[in-house]
Amino acid sequence: MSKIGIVFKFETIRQLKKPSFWISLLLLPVAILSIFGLSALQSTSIEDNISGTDFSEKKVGLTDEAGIFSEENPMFVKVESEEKGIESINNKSLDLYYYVPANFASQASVKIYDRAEDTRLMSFNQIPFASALKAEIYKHIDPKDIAIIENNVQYETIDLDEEGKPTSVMGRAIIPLAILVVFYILICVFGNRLTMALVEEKENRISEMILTSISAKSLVIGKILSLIVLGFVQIAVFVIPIIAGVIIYRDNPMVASILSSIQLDPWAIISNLLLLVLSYFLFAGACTLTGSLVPTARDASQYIGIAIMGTIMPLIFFQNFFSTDPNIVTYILSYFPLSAPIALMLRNAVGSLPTYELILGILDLAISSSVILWLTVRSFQKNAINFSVVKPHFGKRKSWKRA
Amino acid sequence: MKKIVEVKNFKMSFNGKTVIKDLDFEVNKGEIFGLLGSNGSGKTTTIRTLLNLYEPTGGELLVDGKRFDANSDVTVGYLPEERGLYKKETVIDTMVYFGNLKGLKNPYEWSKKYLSRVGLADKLNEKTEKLSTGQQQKVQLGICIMNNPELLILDEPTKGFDPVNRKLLMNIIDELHQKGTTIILITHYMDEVERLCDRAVLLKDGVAHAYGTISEIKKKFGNKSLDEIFVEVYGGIDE
Repeated sequence: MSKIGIVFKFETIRQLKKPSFWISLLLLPVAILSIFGLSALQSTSIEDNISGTDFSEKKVGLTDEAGIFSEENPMFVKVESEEKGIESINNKSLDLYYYVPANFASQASVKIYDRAEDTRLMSFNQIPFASALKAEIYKHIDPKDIAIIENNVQYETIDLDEEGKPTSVMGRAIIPLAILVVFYILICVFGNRLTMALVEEKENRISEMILTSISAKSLVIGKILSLIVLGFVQIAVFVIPIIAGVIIYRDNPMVASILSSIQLDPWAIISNLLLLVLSYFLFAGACTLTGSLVPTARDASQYIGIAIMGTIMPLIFFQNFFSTDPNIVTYILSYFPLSAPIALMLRNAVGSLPTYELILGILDLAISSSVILWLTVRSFQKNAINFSVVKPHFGKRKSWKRA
Repeated sequence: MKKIVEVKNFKMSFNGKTVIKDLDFEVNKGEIFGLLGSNGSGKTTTIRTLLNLYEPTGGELLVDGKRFDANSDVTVGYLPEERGLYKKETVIDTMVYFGNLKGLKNPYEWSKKYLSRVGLADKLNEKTEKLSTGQQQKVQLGICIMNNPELLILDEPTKGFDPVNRKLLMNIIDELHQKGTTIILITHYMDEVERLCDRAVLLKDGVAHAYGTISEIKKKFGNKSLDEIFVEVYGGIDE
């Protein structure tokens, strides 16, 4: 086995043995599922609350000073004045009371009185009045105009591709965007681990001993390769259950609807996968370079945040990337090495990245990651026994610590 | 006599401060060579530069006629002054890893045998952070010698050892010497130098203040003991 292979095996096994690896590996999918679960539970709970609130069992009063209701509504008890309505709420002869002022036509404002007993349902107390008001208004409207008023018009957008065939930009973008999400997860989960890969050699005072047995280049490459593979293990843990879930629940209306909207665009998928691999190499290089320059984990954590910030910066300007007419910000973010991964993947996903720019972007990432990896090796070689000083150097200078 | 280490006109400066002015010495194959000097005299710098961890400001430092690198044909074991281990790994995993890197055929068996010899058989599966400093040093020494190096460089190997373990280490060094290993010993214990070393160099002010066989060095200083010579040369002050 080559020395890179030995380092790769050792690093992979020791990462797999660490509880922190498994915690971070499983934490993200569990956190995402928990958020979705809680969100689903919350909406169910709200729906239950609404449906569980039977307003027909409540005594609801109404004072209609504006005269908006043409006839008496059986849902409401007619109340002569606002004062009486308030009194009825206070003496519990009414559960809910609506007061429609005379200037309703100009102000469109209705007062609702209830007892502050069930604050959870306060926001639903307008429902009986709103439905009665709607029914009243619909009496005077031509049924064919109701859809327009309710904004229920169905808009169907048909995007035509270059050959004039119908296509869906968002449908095509789903899988390439999912690849972008994969990258985002990788940098969040593995950023720190990648940075620590070289810092720990220094912190453990191993570097001097190990560098007489293996070259800095082989050591750095072995470590990075191991963490890249572990990163893809993380992705597999995340993606496989999603794919399994989609297959199992493919008949579920929501899943079926999502599946039907997905359009496979092999070119965008393959090119984004290529961008993902190069981007991860670049990011791994940036993290390990940081780790090679600083003497301790504490110092490293201060710098790694900057690298992550640079990487996710394009998300702030994401609207720029939907235009096929790029501006200066789009170009800067697309070719500045740290921001390029997300900018390029996003533009490629939504189809605003022309082929020549894609090629330029791939070259940019390939060259940047090679340069950063070279700098990492050089830096580790020169700074491996720098246990105390933070001033980086890559050249032929000696070192800062002397015997 | 064939040379395994050649240091020629070695100069070293850090941020304009000269540490080594002009150093020349050679280490013959199969000998035990003492690299002596007070703290800050440039001993570790010389070794680090010899092992290509530093670039020299000037001069040449060769191992078997070439600048050393990790892929070189000469097998080198180095026990540095700044030493450590992977804290969260077990003793055996760490040793097997280094054994594999050093190209051992069966690093597990070798490590087991070595650990038994140095009284750490029961620590095989212990995490290295659980070991005492002395026990960790034994593991580190094992790592350095596991590939029967042609050149073994020991930077203060007995620092922190009790007399029993010091004797054990001396025996191991002696055995390796018998097998033909060349040893460069950096130490402040002059009795070790007197007992083990064939030749030595005394560094002072960035040059070789004395260089030769132990008896030649003693003769130069009126046949005083090495301890007395050390005090005379360095003024009894640990810089």
